[in-house]
Amino acid sequence: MATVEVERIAGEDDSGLILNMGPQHPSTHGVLRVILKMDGEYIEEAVPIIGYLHRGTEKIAESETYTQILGYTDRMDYTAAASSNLGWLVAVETLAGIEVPERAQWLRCIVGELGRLAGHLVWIGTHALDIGAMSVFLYAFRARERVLELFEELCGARMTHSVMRPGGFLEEPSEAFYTKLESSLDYLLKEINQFDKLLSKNELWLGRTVDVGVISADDAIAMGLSGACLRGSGVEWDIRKAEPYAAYDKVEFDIPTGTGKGDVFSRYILRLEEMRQSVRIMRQVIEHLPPGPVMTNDARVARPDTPRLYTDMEAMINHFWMYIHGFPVPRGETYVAIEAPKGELGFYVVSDGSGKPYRMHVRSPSFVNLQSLPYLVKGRLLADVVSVIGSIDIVLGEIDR
Amino acid sequence: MPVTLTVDGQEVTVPDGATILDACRKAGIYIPTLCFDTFLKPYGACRMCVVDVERAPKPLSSCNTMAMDGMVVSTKTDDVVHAQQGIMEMTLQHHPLDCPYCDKSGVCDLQHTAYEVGVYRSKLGSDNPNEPDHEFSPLIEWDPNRCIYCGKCVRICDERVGDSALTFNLRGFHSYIGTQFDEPLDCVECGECIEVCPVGALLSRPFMHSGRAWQVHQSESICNHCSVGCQMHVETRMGEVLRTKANPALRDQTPVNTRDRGPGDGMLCTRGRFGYDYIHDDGRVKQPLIRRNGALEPASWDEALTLVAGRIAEATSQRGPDAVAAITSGRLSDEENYLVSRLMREVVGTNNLDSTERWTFIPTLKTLGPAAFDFSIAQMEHMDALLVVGGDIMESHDVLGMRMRQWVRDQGKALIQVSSLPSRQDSRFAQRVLRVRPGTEEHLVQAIAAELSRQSRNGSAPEELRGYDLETAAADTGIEPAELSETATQLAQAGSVGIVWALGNWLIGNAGNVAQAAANLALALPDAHLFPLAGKANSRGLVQMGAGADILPNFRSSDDAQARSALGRLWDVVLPESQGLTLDDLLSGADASVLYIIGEDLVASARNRQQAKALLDRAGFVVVQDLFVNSTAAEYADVVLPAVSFAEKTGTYTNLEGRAQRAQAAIPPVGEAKADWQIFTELALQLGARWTYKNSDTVAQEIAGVLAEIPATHSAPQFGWQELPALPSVNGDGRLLLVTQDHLFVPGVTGRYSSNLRRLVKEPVAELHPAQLERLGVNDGDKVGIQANGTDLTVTAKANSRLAEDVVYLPVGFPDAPVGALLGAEATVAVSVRSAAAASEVSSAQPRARNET
Repeated sequence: MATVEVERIAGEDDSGLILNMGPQHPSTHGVLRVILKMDGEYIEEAVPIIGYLHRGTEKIAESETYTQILGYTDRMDYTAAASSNLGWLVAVETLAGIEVPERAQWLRCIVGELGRLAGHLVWIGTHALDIGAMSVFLYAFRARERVLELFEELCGARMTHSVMRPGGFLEEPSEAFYTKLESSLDYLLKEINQFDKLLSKNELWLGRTVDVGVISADDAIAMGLSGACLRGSGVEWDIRKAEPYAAYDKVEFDIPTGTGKGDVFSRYILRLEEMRQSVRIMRQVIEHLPPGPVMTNDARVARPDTPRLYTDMEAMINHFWMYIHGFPVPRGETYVAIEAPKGELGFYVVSDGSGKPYRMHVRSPSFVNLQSLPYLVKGRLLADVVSVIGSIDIVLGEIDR
Repeated sequence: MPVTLTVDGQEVTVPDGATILDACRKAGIYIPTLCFDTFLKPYGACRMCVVDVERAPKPLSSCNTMAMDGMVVSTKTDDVVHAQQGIMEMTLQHHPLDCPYCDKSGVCDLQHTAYEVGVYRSKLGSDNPNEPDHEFSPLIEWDPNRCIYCGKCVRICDERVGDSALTFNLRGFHSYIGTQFDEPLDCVECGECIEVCPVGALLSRPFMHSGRAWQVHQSESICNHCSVGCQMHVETRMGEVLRTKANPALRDQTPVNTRDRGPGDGMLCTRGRFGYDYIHDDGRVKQPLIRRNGALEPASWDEALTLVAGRIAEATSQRGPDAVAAITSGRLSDEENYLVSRLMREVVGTNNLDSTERWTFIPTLKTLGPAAFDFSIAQMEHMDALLVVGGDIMESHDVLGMRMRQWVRDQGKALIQVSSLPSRQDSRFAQRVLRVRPGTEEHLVQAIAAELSRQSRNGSAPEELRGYDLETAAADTGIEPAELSETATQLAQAGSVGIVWALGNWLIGNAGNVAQAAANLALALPDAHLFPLAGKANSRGLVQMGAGADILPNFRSSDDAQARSALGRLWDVVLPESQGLTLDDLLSGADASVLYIIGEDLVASARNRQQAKALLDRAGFVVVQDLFVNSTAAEYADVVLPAVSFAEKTGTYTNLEGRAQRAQAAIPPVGEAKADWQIFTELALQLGARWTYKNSDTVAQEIAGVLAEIPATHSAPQFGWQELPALPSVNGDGRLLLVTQDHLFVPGVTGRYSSNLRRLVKEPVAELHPAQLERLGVNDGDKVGIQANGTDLTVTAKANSRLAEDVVYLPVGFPDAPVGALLGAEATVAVSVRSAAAASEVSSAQPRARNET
């Protein structure tokens, strides 16, 4: 494909310089490859080439049970694995009609927002590093370490943790998790403000971000952009408010739109604000977290308690059948989207009535947002490509799946 | 008259006689069942299938309640669900917590149903009796703790298999599944009971604890042990065959399942279900062997094939292509038999290609013509009466025998057995048993044919049948003339009559006569059909592919110039015209410099072992291509080429009806072994041919073209008369007539390596009439010495009062007991039998132990 694209943009007269960027270039955030047609330092045309990280997740999903697929959604947007899992679970629970207990719904907001912080902290670190702000990278990863420690306290794993299950959570989080979470929020807020202070008024930073990679609200909507890429152009759209899931309808938060100019700076400033809003959401959850179970009492879905397995034939059968064949999901199809750190993450699931999906398709935000790259960099300088890629905030695990 | 009823608000129309369950399943509504099986009559034991019917006082079991016009059925009401959950809880109360180590876990009906009806928490607690297992046989085990007493095993043994070996013993809480009166299990060991068991109560002992249901991979295959061609699944894990089982698609629980259940009707016999383990037998040849300094030593494929090709080329250049001869086997697939024919005819340039079908299938074909083989098992089912002549179908084609029992039992068909040996059909299923003297089956059939044609032509029999009447036949066969005449009348009045005979071991030396007698009887009857049942899995395919000295594809004769030129055109060669050497020619003295034996143990299979050994001694170079170093290979082979079993290659097998069925490769070849088609192709390339076969399917495509180009010619059988062979006289000289037959548990020269089947029968047992044993001074279970043709064999004796007095029965196929050595060239052999105590000093030919062969 790449060769065809090179020949196409080179044109018949083969004029101009064809420049290859990636897929091993550090500033393409993974294995993105961009073929650029240059006119001097200016970009005439840019073609993103993807597929270097394709693992066939959607096809693999057809031979795994709904629970097992969590291990694959984990590895889509691995910077914010919690969000990918949450999207998948909301889709499965909608299709299977599984009621999730109230406490689990609230807890999912915490996990979802911690995921958002983990994702955004990678973004701010790498974005700043790409542009040349080395120290921010170190501060961001130090802050992210705290988020990962929280995940570790929650379930033992740090990045790809699959802590949520269809029907709620595997287990009630430990007391230490809540304590640590409460004590971490102030720290995280302080760190976020520090990024703001380091960058937002910095001449160099402003020079590289303001009025770079501009897209209007209409164009952004037409291209199907979502998340910060859409909000940066002044469109107040957040699925957590528009179609609430988990307990997002019960918490208060704002939808930041940055400067509304649709440039790299606007997307930057609004993501910083989003992180503050995440902390705000978590504070409310901690305050209002209702008591009760974290797993549904629907025995078709919930794992029976381990002690019962040794004495109770019914529990043993329940456990065996559920883990061998998966819980059956009624025949039907659904599309459910959530607000992931990168934008609208949607899962389209078709069930044939068995314990494994007949078809699973992912509408990943990075994939759709990436298509704005040629538009955003056209006619700009080569150095702006790095800045724009960083502001779109892509992760190739999600684009290629 | 179809009836229309409402199920859960949905109108369903089902045929009259359908049950509520049928209607629900037709409407796509799930009803949990445990004791229901489409193969069996409704039983209503488990009560899982209860539904609410309007105006009925209580929930009704849907599997055995007829659907009626206007019925209003609800399947999901609270009452129904509570009833189902309650029943399930009570069933589970006594079920042990065995899931983690139960073979059935994952495909268990009880697990599935419990999960479906929604019992997740025990209200009744657990109460496990923890009884010890019952070992019904070396292959079948019953775990009383897991049993849910649905009665499926008891019913399938009764209704489908016909052995009624299992039953409920005692009553109420004390009842258990067992054999009748706790006698040792006496059945065909088919293992259908294991297949239907909804839980892990009945277990296959060879398979036990060897693989979890969700780890195994299943491949569709065809059973290779006889010519019925039952469809089965081969379960494998990591390149190892774990077990074989009936194709589950054929046992679909949907009553509206209209899928053709195949020739086996979804069943398997003991050979099919347990006779798979030879595939991983330690004795498999895993790489080519070349004889150096008298011993077979491992070699590479290159070395072996170069040597074989070199010796073939050398023989051809010195003595012409006819110095090479090949013997193929009915165990090979269609493609392979086609290729061996092409190898010999095109590449080597000789017609010297034959198989043991020379003794059974080919004479039958020559007598009757190809039209006689155009029949189906479905046609057999529609016969009003079945006359089974000779070898026991229950031993040679077990599944067909079981199906015959169903036809007798369910459809009232008449079964008449003409045989010198007792059969499992005799006591409960055969309407008439004619116990003839050995080797006189065709005398009896011929006499009835003559009698019937005499009756229909006012006393004058056709020319060919004149001179044979009931009195002569009675003297020959030992059956009273009155009984013969009754049989004749019964057959004449029966309507349609199927004349069935197995082309098995009993027929050797006599096949043409039996076929002619059967044809005569068919012509004398108003409506009769012939059912000659091919012997090996692909006997029919072998002959149809033209893998015989005088046969071309589609049963055409090699004298047929048109067929020969058509085939020559397709292969782009001039086919040799000279008459090829048949197996009989070879055995009776013809010379071959190079003898290529494929899938056959000539020493063990030949009727006359001395002749076979002489042939192998004469041959300058012997190549054996087989799975094992069989007795031929061990003593005579210069090169052994390792071939593969049916599970390691893809190929089609043509069953006795002419149905070509494809068996998928389930595992990669064991060791360095190669599929036979691949060996033929590589050998042909070494010999300079330009073959381009990439896989078995490319060969199959070519075969389709060949068969279309050379169509079969049809001719109806005619009345004929052949001199019936004289029987050896044993009057008063103390000798007995030796009767042999295939043994169900010892299927052929490959299946005999199955240690599963060898658990059932360890050694051959000579069966004699009790009076004869008394005369010999031998007790039941003692050893006797049997002597004939210079061979002395010591075997255990067993009394069987259903045998004739002057007969000794010895099954063939045991590698340890060279029954073939006892047999001369004659159809019937007289042997002397003595007490082994008296004969111990004479034991010159000790049976060879298996590991020495």
